[in-house]
Amino acid sequence: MIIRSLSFLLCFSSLFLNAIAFANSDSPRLDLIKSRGAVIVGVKNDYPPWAYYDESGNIVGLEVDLAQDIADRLGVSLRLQAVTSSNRISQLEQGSIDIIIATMGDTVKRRQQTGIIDPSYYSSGATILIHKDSPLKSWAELYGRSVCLTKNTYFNRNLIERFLLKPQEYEGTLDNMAALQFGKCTGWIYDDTALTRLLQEPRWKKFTAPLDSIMLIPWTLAVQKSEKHSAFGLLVSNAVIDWHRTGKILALEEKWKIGESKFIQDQNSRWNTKDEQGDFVCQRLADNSLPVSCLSKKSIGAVSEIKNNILSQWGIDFPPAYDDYSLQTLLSGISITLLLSVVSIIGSLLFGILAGIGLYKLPTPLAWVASRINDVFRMTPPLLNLYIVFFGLGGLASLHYGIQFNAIVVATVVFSLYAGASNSALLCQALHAAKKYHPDDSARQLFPSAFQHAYEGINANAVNIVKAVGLASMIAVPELISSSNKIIAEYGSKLEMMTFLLVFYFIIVYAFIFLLNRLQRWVGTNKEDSKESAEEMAS
Amino acid sequence: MSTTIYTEIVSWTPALLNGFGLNIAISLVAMICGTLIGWLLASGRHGSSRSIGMSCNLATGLFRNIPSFVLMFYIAFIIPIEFEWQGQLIQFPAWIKASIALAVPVIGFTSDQFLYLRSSLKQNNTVALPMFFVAWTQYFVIILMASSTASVIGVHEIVGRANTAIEVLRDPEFMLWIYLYVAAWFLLAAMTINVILKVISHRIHQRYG
Repeated sequence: MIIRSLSFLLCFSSLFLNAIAFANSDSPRLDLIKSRGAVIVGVKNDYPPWAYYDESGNIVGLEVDLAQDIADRLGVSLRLQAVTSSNRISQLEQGSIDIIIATMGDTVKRRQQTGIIDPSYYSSGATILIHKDSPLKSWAELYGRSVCLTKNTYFNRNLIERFLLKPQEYEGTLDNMAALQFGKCTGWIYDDTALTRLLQEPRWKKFTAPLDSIMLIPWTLAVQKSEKHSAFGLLVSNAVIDWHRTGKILALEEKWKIGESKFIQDQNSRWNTKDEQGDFVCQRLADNSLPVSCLSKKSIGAVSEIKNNILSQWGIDFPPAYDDYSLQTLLSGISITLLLSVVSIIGSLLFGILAGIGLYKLPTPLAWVASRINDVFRMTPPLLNLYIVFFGLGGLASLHYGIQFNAIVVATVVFSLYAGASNSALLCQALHAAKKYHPDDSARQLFPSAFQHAYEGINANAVNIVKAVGLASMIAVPELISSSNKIIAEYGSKLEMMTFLLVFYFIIVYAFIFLLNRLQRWVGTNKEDSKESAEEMAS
Repeated sequence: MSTTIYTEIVSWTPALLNGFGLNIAISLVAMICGTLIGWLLASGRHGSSRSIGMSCNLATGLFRNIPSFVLMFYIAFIIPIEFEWQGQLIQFPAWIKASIALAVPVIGFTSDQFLYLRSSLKQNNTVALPMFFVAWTQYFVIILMASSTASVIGVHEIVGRANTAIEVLRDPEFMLWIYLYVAAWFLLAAMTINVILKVISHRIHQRYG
């Protein structure tokens, strides 16, 4: 009797204390947890090393350690409940668990269903494992290639569609390893968290994962939707900020031998950055929200208010309209495309003029040889020439001399030679034709009329350069097609980006045609002007 | 070039040539389809109806100026790999997508050529018809070169096969040589066609003066 009343008293007093501690608690869930004396966390049990059964049948892992930390902060004990990807949100919203810490990715749909906690605490994505000798330098080079994939991985379908892959889907690690070794595929694309772990094993020492992960999905904790902005939601959110600031997750990655992930490193420095006054740049605002710039990019993408723009009202998902980073990517792609076009056109003109006059002046047998060399540039596909110079010669140069070829320079040279060879053939022909009418004139005297005569063809070659610069995306030049593909790989807005690309290309081709015609007219009138002034002077 | 690379290239040659056959097939399909549609557009352009003429002019301009490489990506992304039609699963192979993309510039080119041909024939210019075929064949060479880009949408043509060979052998020197070898096949094809065309147009000019 005494014991019972004592325990009652204890219970009562602890409730009372809680009531003081959370005097203005607006959270029924927090009150429930306190009265229960335990927080129930939904975790996975089949996802090593995040959360899995150890030999003694207990669920352990990185996420379990995080759950324990939440329990410590609440001052209650931890109760784990195994959940699956399909039942975790319904269990949370029904109230049978208090929090989800179960490798859950941040999506717009989940934000509608439940109380996703910002900031995100982890992130996973797809990366590619390749042989150390492989020349692969960018994701764009994978277009149309054979790639090994692990069956039933969530991003496979997206990857195949976004990179037009020829997939070879295998069951497990060993099959993929064998396929890689026999050269059946360029590389093996799989979850980056899993691949980083594999690479630590000695049998994978000939392989590497050099590319940045793509199709990143931030992982988030979740509480009931009604609790997202309550004292409870705030406490969980503050816990995540604390984890990033103190480097707790970095330490846990080491403990569970996962290897430091770039996402966590970024978060660690982001949440520790201070302004001139010595205050944290990233901290909770007066209305308890977090600055948008402090959240991870993809979770911003999921915040619906940012997507609220004119285009999205029409059902158009055009990432550059709401995401600053993809806008920057797109703009730099556009400027590189324009730069590459203009410089290659100038290069092709210079080469065309020099080689054209050279072909015209050379004695016949030499001219024949030179024009056959000229034909090589004209009559081989520019895509192959890019491959030959960048991967072929560039690969040998870096192997033997440690020289790295710059992709933009390679592209400029290849396009200049491709169109320049056609220009020189046109000019040489025009010079020969002009000579028929003025047999005694020198090449210099014949040149203006020959150039005027060949202008239409030269103009067409210039336009062809603009049409062809997109090929540079195949050697990892970050031009417009590359940057559009990058945005597609991140956001999946295929139709919008591709339509933009097509329309934009159409416009720049027309713009170049317009400008080149203007140039021709301008050159034409200038020549007449100078003729007139010459006549005036003569009279 | 070492002897091992030489023997490797020889052993890959049948596969590469099969791939080159696909390049030629893709280009021919693109040329034939493009020519038919180009002929329709040209007929519309000098037809009696002004509105049809305007729209055919507009369409020709549109097709003439779309870069086939960008279009190839567009078609590959937008048309699904397979789709259901009346309960049947229809496969849409990548090489057909490549042919469609390459047919578009052919439409623009042939539409202009047919228009020119018709006006020349009206002036009793007998050289016009044979010269049309010469120009057509020259354009085929351009499309054949462009068909090498089909590898980026997963068509297993000659460049795609060379990439496979490179992945199997993983030797930087082999990579250079096999790309050069593939380029040589394109060069050979283009030069052969050009020589034949030169002979033919020479004959044409001799006959019709």
